[in-house]
Amino acid sequence: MTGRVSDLTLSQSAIQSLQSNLSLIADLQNQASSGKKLTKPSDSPVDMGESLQLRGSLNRNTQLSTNISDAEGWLGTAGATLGSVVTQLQQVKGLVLQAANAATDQNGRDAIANQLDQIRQSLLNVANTQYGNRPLFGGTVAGAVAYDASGNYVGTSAPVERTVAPGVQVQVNVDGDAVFGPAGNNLFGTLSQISDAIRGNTSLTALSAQLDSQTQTVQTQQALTGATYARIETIKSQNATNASTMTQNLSNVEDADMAQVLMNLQAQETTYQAALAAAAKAIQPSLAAFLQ
Amino acid sequence: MSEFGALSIALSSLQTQQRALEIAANNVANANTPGYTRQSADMTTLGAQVTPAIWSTTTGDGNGVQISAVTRFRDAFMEIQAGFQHGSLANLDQANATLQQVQNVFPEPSDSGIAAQISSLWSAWDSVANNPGDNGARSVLLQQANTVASSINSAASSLQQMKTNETSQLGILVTQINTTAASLAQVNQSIKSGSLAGLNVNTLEDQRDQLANQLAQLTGGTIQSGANNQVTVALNGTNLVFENHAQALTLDAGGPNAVLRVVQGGFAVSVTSGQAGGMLNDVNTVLPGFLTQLDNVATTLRDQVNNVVSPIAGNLAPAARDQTAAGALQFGIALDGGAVANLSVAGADWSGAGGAAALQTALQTALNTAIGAGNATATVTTNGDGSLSVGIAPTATHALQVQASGANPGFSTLLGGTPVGADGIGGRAFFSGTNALTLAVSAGIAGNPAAIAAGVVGNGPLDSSIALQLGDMSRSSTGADTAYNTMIVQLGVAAKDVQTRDNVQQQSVQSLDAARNSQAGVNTDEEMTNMVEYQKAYEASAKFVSAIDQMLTTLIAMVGP
Repeated sequence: MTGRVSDLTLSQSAIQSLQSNLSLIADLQNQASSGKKLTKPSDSPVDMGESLQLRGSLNRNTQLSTNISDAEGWLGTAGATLGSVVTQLQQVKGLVLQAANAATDQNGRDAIANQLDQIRQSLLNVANTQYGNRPLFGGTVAGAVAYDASGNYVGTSAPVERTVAPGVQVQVNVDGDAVFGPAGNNLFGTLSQISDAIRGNTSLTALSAQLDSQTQTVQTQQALTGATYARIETIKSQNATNASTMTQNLSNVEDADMAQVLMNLQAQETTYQAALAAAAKAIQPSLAAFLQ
Repeated sequence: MSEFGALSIALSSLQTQQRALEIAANNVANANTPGYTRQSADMTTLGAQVTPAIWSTTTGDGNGVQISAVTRFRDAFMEIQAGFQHGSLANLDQANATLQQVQNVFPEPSDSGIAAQISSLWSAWDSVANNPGDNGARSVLLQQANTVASSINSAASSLQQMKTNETSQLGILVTQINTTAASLAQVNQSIKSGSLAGLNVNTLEDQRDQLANQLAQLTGGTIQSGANNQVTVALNGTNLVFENHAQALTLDAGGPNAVLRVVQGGFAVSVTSGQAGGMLNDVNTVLPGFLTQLDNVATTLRDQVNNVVSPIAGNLAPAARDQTAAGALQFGIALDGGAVANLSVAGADWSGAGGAAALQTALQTALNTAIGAGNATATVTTNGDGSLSVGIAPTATHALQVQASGANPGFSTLLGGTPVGADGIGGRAFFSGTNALTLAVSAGIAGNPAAIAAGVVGNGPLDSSIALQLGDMSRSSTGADTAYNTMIVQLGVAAKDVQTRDNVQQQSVQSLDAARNSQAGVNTDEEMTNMVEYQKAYEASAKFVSAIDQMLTTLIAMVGP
C-alpha cells in the first residue's frame, strides 16, 4: 500500500515540518538575540574546551596586568630613589675632595662635616623610602623602616616578588644590603667615618676609595633596576597583545556571525511561511465539498 | 429459479451494502482517532448450488453477495518494528533530557560559572601576594574560596537531587509498566476468546497494538505475535506479557545500582532500552559519573591548595647542620586544634654522616613527648647538596599546628619552609572535605583572614612566596581548572552525541510512523468514494426489488379474479 496517503499522514507530516522549521527559527533567534553561538557545552564541545581555556587565560591575564602595574610601581620608585642616592653621593664626593684640599681650614672642614652629616641623614631617609606602606629596601620586613636611626639594616633579605607572566616571577624590591653595603660596612657607616675623619683632619684616601666603590655598587643596582624595569615593560606590552589576541579568539569561538545568523533567520522564516501555506493548501480540499 | 429467489439476492445485496456503508461511516468517524486502523468490507459472491438435487436444478448464476470478513489494514511486522524503534526513541529522549538538565547545572561558558570562580580564586591569591599585610586582600580571598566551595557543593547537590528525583520517577514508571502490562494481558484474553467465537476483534486488536507499543516505549521490550492474534512482550528473554499473563515488576533502588526485578521470584530483569532503560542508565551511570568527576574537581582543588599551604617542613643548609651552639631549639605544636605544647630539641652537631638519623630520632622523641606517641612522624633526609630536609607529618586523620615559641629560633631553624599565616601559625589546611558535596574552607581558616598562610616562616613577616605559588596555579595542567574543563568538554561531547542520535532516531520513527499511517490511516476521500459506490449499489438493488414487485403484481393481476 505504499504511496497511499491518509488524512493522518498529511496532517502529521505538516505538523512535523512546521515543528522542525520552528525549532530552527528558535535556535537562530536565540543566536541573534544573545549574539552567542556557544551557549552550552553541547553546542560545540571542541569550542567549549577552547572557550574555557581562553577565559581562564584572560582572567589570569587581567590579574597579571595588575601584578605588572604593581611591579612597575616598585621598580620605578626604586629606580628614582637610587638615582637620588647617586646624586647625593656625587655631592658627597665633591665635599670630600673639597675637605681634602689643603686650603680648607678647620672651620671649613667642620662645615663640610656638618653638611655630610645632613646628607647622611637625608640618605637614611631615602633608604627608608616607602612604597605602599612598605620600606622599599626592607625586603619582607613588617615595620615601616629598612634602616634604624643609627643606620643599621633592620630589613630581611627575602625577596619581594611579583608574578608578571605565567610562571615568571620577578623580584621587584631591591635588597638594602645589596645597595648600601652589608651590615657593619654600609654606606651610612662610611659617611660617619668620613665626617669624623674630616673633623679630625685625618687621611681620607682609604675612605674616599671605599666611597667610590660603594657609589659604584649603588650605580650597578640602579642599572639592574632599570634593566628589570625595561624587562617588565616588554612583558607588559606582550601581556596587552596577548589580551587582545585572546579576546579576539574568544570572540571567534563564542560569538555568532551576526550577518550570517540574520540571513539564515530570514531564509528560515521564508521557508516557514511556505510550509504554512503548503500545509493550508494540502489539508483544505476534501471530496465532501464536491459531493451533493 | 423463482421470483422469490431473486428477491433474496436483492435482499443480500441491500444488507451487504448497508453493512459496508456502516463500516465506511465508522472509518470516517475514526479518521482522527489515535491507533485506529481502517477497516474494509470484503465482499464475496454467494455461490449458486453446484450439486444438483433430484427434483431441483439450478441455473448456477449465483445467489447474491455476503461480507466474508472485515479486513483490518495493519501490518503486524511493522508493529513489531515500530515497538523497537519507539523504544529506542524513548530511551534516547530520556538520555537527552537528562544531559540537557546536567548542562543546566553547569552554565558554561559564563563569567560566573565554576571555571570563572576557580580562576578568580587564583587571582585572589595573587592579590594577597601583592599585599600580604593587607587583611582586605585576605578577606577577599576567603570570600572567593567560600564562593568556589559553595558553587561546587550546590552543583553536586543538584546532581544528587536529580538522581533522587529520577529514581522516584522510575518508581512511578514501574507502576505504569505494570498497569499497561496487565491491560495488555487482559486484551490478549479478550482477543483470544473473541476470535475463537468468530467475533470481529478489530477494535480489540487496535487496543492491543497500542498497549504493546506503549509497553515497548516504556521498557524497550520486544513485541512478538502469538497464537490467536495475541502478542507477547519480552524483556531480554523475560516475558513481560505472555498471552493472558503479565509479570509485575518492582524497582529495587536499595543496592549500589537501581535494578528492576520480577515480583514473582525476585530475579533482576535487564532493561536497556525504552524510557525505563534510559532512566536506569541515568541513575546508575550518567549522574553518578558526573558526580564522580565533580568530586575529582573538588578533591583536586583541595589538594592543590593544601599541598602548598599545609606542609610542615624545613631545610638545614650544610653550614647550619652544626647547631651545638644554639642550645635547645624549641617551637610550639598543637594536636587537632588543642593546646599548644612546647617541643624542645637539644641543639647538636648534625653535620656528620649519621646527622640526619640523629636529628630524626631527636625530633621524633621530642614530638612524642609533646603530643604523645603515634600522632605524628618526623622525617629527616640528606639532600644531594648536603643540606637536611626536615619534615613533620601528622598520622591518620590528625591535624597539626606549629608556631614559634617565644624568642627561640627553633621553629625557623628546623622548619623554616613551613607556610604560616600572619599570626605565625603553620600547618593549617585551607580546604577541608572529602568530595564535591563537603568541600569547604577549613574550620581553622574560615573567618580568620590572618590565618591564611601566604609566606613561609623563614622569610620574614611579609613574605608572600606561598601566595605567589598559588596565584600561578592556573597554569597547572593537572589542577582543578583542567579537571573541571575536561568534565565540561566530556559533558558537551556526551550531550551532543545523544542529541544527534536522538534526532536521527526521531527521523526514522517519523518515517516509520508515516508508513504505518499510510497503511492504517483513514483517507476520507477514499471512504467517500466507497460510500458513493455502496450507495449506488444499494439504490440499484432497491430498484431490483421494486422490479420484482411489479413483476409479481403483474402476474397476480393476470390470474386474479
